[in-house]
Amino acid sequence: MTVSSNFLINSREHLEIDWKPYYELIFQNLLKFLISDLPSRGGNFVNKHIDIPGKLFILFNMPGTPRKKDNKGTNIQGLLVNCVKPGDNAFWTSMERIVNICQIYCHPDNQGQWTQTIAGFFLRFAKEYVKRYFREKRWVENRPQNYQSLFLDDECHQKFIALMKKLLTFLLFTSHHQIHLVAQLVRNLMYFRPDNIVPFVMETVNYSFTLPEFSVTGLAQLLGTIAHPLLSRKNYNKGLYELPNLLYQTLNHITPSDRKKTKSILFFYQKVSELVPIYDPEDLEAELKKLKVEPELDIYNEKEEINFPHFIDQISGWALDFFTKFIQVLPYLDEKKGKEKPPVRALLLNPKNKFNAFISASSISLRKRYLEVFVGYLTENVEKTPNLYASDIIQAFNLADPALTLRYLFPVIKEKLLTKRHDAFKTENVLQDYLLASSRNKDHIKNHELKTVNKENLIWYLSILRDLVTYTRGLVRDYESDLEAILILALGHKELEVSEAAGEVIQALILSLLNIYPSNVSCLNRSQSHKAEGIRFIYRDIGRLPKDAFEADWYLSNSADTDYAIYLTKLFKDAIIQGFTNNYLENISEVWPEDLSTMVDIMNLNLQESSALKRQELTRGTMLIYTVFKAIAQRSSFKDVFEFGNLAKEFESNFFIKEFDDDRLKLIIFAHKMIYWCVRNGYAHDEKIMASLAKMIPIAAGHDDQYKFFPLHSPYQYS
Amino acid sequence: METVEQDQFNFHTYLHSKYPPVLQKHTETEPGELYKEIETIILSNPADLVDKLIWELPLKLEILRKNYGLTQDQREFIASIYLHYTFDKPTSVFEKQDLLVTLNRVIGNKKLDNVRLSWKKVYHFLDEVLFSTKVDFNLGRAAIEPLFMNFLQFLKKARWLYEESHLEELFTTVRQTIRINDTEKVKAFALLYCFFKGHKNYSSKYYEKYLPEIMEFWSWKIHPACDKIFFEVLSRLAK
Repeated sequence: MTVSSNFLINSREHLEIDWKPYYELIFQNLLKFLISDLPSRGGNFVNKHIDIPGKLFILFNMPGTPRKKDNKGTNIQGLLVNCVKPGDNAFWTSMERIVNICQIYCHPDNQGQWTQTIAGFFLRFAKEYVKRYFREKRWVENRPQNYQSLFLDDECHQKFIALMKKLLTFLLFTSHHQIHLVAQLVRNLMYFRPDNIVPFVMETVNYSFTLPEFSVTGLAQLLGTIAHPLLSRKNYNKGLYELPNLLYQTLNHITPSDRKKTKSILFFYQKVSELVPIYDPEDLEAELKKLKVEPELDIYNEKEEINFPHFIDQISGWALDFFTKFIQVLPYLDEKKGKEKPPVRALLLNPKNKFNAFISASSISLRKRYLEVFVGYLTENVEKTPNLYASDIIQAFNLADPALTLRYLFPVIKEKLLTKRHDAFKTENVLQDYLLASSRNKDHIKNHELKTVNKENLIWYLSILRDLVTYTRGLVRDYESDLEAILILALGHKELEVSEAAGEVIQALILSLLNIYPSNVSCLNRSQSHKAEGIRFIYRDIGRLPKDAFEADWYLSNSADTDYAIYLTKLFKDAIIQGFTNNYLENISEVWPEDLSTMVDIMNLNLQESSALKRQELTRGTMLIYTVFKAIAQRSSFKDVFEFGNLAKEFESNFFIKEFDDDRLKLIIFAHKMIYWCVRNGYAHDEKIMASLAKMIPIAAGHDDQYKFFPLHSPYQYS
Repeated sequence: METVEQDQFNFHTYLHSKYPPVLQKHTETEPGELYKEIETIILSNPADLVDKLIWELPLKLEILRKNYGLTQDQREFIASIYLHYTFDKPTSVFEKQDLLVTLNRVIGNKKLDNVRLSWKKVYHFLDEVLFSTKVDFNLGRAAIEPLFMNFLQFLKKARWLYEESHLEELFTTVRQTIRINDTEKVKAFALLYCFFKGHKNYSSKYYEKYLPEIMEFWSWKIHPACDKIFFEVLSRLAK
């Protein structure tokens, strides 16, 4: 048994193969292969030139096979790394020659796509080398002694690092188009030998800041990618000391004239704030007091080479400077929201939101100061189209502390939108009559009117309001009457687009009341470090992976939230359905008794009878019903419409809200009757009315276009 | 045969503990029930099993694989059934294509330790089904190329399943195929690329037998495009 197991172990490794006699052949062909991808005077070698059967040609060109520009498919690097043996100078000399030739193509003046080829090649080489190193580290215990002499030793590592440093001298200055692979290469090396690589990289980075013409776009991307190995205290203790300098150096480069540069700097800041907590020194002292630890910031100085209270001061100062500067340039950043967003039936956390981590990482008094700055932005500016960053910032505030955000921002919106009415209230359209009849704040609404009546401004404020109610849970109930007044008055506005924007606010509001989402995935979970011991080591634990400590803080709606959502649904959906049914649909007992050709005739004959006022009312009403139903669709039962399997039924009983049980069937019947009525009364030619009505039926019957890309997860799979 | 208790921890079990309680209850039983359904269908061996393997099981397997992950035993059992129906049973080219898609997904990046496959079967499939003119005639290339792509992906995964004896047989075939003209030369090298694999269970120092021959082939005057084949073959040997 032992013999066979030894035999297996020995037969697994091929380190014993002597590659030296073949070096000439290998490196000659390697150079030929590598150079064939780089620009030269002659044409590139393309394998179309050889006469090979068509299907074999595919073999060379498909993904995962050798023929790929970035060398991903070929494991040349695996071969090279496994050739290395201790004391094998011939190998390293040959590799150095290869690097010498590659350096010409990495010089800042001679960069292009080929730089990426080289970075990709050496990235793979470094990865394979590190992989072999860790593999052998694992094997040290159970491999025979004579075999261990073939393992990589310190001399190999030194030569490897020297080789990589030589390559990086030029590669670190790569522009942002090609930096991606270089950054990964540096990150890998930083994990492998931080003591050798980090000082070298930092020296180059600091030098490049002194160059007047150097663009920091690529550099900020590089810094963002290497943030973890740089700041992780376990990996490299002194990396954190470099941080304030880097943050302040990059701060000067935030500019509205270069979107890419600003974006990549934001990426760097996002990565930093995912790792480093940003405390106002006073907050930290207050927290220490709360935990009954002596409130002296000097406890952080133990075993540290820098003055830590000063460091904390610097970081919080940077955070405030950054936010103020960013808000200053915000009106000039033309990063707009995409117009065609897919219809959403759930609140999805946006992983691309670069402010989530920054705001969650900041302490409470810093957040308050940010909000003061942001209130200034809201009161002074009105933009024509919704700004992506403004929306991101509000949503990030909401995720971190919804009560605080509402307290600061809602009064601004209220002041901009609502004002006391001096004349008598008169409804603008029939829709408002329906809504006021079932509203519990009708007196409050009748006493107010909209302050802003300009269409564009109103839409902008409503889009801000939509972001403000997203993720604010049941806390919006404190502002219920004002919110309802804004929404109902906006629904009565002359312009249809304003009603649509109000509809979106209602959808976001109901979704945030009913949805289940983790509120803390955007940042590291710091609940653990808030214990008395943890807060002392808060800066010493930086870089610890959050995997083990992470506890998702799930938001589940309580009964008060659900009740409010039910009230909103009744107000904005059921009241309108009821109103339409009373006014138009009472005499309709049977749908489609006539044959199709008769109906087409009726549709064309009655075209003249439709009135513009009624059309407006129908458009707004159907749009609102459809929007509100989308928001509750995920928690509304399929009773009488669709039969689930046993497995899903159990889940259904826990998740669905009883008050919405009949909604689907009611909506289907309403939509059928309404379409019939529209056809008979000449409204069937209005595409907006018919689109809302036609979309209502499939969504009520269980079709969900959110599953468009994942058809396997649609409820139909159980049928 | 010894049964080894497998480590059941996977990404799902980690995430499962982080779900809200309502969801935890729901997801606990689903993977077991779903696999039981699949197993019952296969073991009952209905007359239309091939159709079920193509139309019904892939959907269920996809939910199981994506949401919960397959254990090694489950993976090996399902893969062996699909291998059997692809290479041993008389199925049409189009059926083979669908079977290969599911097979590739089931195997994923994992190694199947307890499943073996004869390389000759795969070679004949490549030679007779894919390279013969019999299939190509009026179906057009479009019908055959997705199959070829799937097959190439499968080749990569299948190299772990051959016995050691395949090396000797492979080299015999390569020596018989190789000619001085480029077309035949490339075809012989492509065979090496498709089938050559070193495996931990192979006998000691088998590489000494084949390395000089591979290097000999490489030193011939060949097009640089073919260098990639040798880099790949040698790196498989060096690992």
